[in-house]
Amino acid sequence: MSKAAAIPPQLDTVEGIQTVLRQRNYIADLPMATALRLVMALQKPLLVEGPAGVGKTQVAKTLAEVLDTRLIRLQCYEGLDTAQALYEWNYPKQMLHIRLTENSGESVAQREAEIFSEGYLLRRPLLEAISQDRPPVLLIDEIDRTDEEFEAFLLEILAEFQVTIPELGTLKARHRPYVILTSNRSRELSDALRRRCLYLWQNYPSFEKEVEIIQAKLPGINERLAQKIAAVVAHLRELPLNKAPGVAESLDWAEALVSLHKESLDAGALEQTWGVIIKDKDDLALVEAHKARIAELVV
Amino acid sequence: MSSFTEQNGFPHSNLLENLVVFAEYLRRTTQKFNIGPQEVQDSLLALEAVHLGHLQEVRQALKLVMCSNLEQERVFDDLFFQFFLPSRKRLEASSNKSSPGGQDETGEKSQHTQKNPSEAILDAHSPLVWGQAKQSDDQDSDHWAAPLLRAMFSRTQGGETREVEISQQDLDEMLLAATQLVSQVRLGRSRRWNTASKGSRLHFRRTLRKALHTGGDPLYPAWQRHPKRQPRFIFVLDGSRSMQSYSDQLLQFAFALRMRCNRVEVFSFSTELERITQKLEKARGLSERPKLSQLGRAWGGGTRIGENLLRLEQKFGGLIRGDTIVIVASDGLDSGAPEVLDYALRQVYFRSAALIWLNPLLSTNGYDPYANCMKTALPYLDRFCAASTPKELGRLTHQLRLRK
Repeated sequence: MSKAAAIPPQLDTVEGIQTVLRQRNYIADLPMATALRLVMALQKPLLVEGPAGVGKTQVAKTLAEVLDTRLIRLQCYEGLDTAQALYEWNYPKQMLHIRLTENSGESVAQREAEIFSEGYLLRRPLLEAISQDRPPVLLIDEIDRTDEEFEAFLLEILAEFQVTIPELGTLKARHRPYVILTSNRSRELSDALRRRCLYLWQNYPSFEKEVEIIQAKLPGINERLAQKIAAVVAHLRELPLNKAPGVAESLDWAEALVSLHKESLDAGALEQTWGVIIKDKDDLALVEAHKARIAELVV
Repeated sequence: MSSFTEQNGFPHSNLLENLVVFAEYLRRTTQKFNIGPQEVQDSLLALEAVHLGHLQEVRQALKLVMCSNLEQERVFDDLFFQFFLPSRKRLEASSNKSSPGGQDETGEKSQHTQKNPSEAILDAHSPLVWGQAKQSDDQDSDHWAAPLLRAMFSRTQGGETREVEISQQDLDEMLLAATQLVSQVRLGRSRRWNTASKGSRLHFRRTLRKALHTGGDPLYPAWQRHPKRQPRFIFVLDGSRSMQSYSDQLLQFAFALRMRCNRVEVFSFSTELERITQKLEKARGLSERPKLSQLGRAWGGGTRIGENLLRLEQKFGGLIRGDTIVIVASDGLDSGAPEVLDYALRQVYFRSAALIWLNPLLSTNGYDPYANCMKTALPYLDRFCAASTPKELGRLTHQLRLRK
């Protein structure tokens, strides 16, 4: 296994990473840029925890773009098992082969070896990630949604980058993928998994960073409008909402306002577009109660 | 590298020594950093990958390698500066707010991330602020609570130093009650598929293997089915002075519950919250007179229910899942702000499968849950009850309707 494939020279420094990501419209602060630098240098997985909508998934996508490599995504959910994450045998094809070779005179052992060969293997994201000729970015999204059994199974892959298939033996990664795991902390992850990863907590961005993000994603947006959006969203995040708006919501909101040809925020525009950032009935009621303060921010 | 350490006045002459001692320093903190030789080695590699002359990159690189959870992440910067640069203080967040975009004395741009709603509300009701909160609404809770009122509004910090003994009297009955409580919860089945002798889905892989021996005919099918979901419990015990008459029995019940089921987490709170599951585990090892020591501010002081439930959600939110039944054992005599409790309970309610409030005062004649805290809590409770005997405690989850 070759440890690291050629990394563009501009990604050799933290500042270089920030610049390159900015060119791709991703505003990375120092912690995030350092984390990516270490992912490439140490070849260790990165566990990013934080509230929903702060750009945890986006960083993996952008990294794949920057490295000009494939992004392989494993979306986790309760009940996810090895058959969906790692590999599965192509049973209909195997069955067909058994039928076709019924009278071929081959022994059971020969036929077994044939149907459990790579031609009958369906590769799922994890196996796909370690079989690439060029190191891909492997995004294991929302790892906290899986159960403990699957998390334990991941340990072998994240530590050794190898997979054991009983019928084929141990398959080692040709190149170590760059692994990014994300979690919304809906459940506590095991210490064993955490120890195998670099850890980064990503919180909501600062006001300045959020304005920068909005401007980077929507280059034509009026700066004042971007600032107002960031200010209102920052205020909303301080309210005890059930679902606080993330950066994704800020961007959606900015896009909605731009597409409605709103050059500035006013009470009417707010009324029209609340649904883009507030997605809970109780939250809407709470925001109604804080209308006066929000109106001040808008003015 | 050694010149770097000398320039910056680090405690030791070379980087490796500094890192080893720093790792040892972190291991001894209350956050219990889990740092072994591998992490120290990774730290060295990480430092090679960043610009050593840039203090923030160095700090950030070490943080990424040495921290493994949010609790550690939050204290790391302070520990870093305390260890490496004790003479230089980090700029406080408040002073930074006045100079947006400026540089603090560590050279880092002072752009501050925003807080989660739960952090924001907790700050807004920090002890200093909510120490001035009104207590007026509880005037109507009259004679029944008279002896407790004195203890209830005690804002003393508690700081229990004596050992709390877990009574052995009637422990067998408590164990039976705990078994009953665990076994009567029906959570349904998981979405996972497990191999089983009888099931609803064909296990293709096994069936095919078996079929090889019968000429490809699947004469002996193998099956899969969804396994039963096992419930988890979080028992939150109010150990404040006003609960003194009940807390010993409830602690005994928590102990029994932990003995009967591994998926139980126990917390105690008074003015502060403490996870006591490990302490109960250790107490279990003592054959006679199991005791809990050093409960500190989680036992025997005033009552801050909302704040502590919010801390539970913030710090241990990962333990409250769709298969978790949260049991809060408290008299509800809170001196905190109701909005904090409201927010905390709402969060716990949404995360958990069921929320039970066990209030020992409910069995007192003339008691009605009119106190501010209980009025706030009632809409979020799946069950509100009193239980004073092992039998009643065992029926806490009887025919409980789970939300998930």
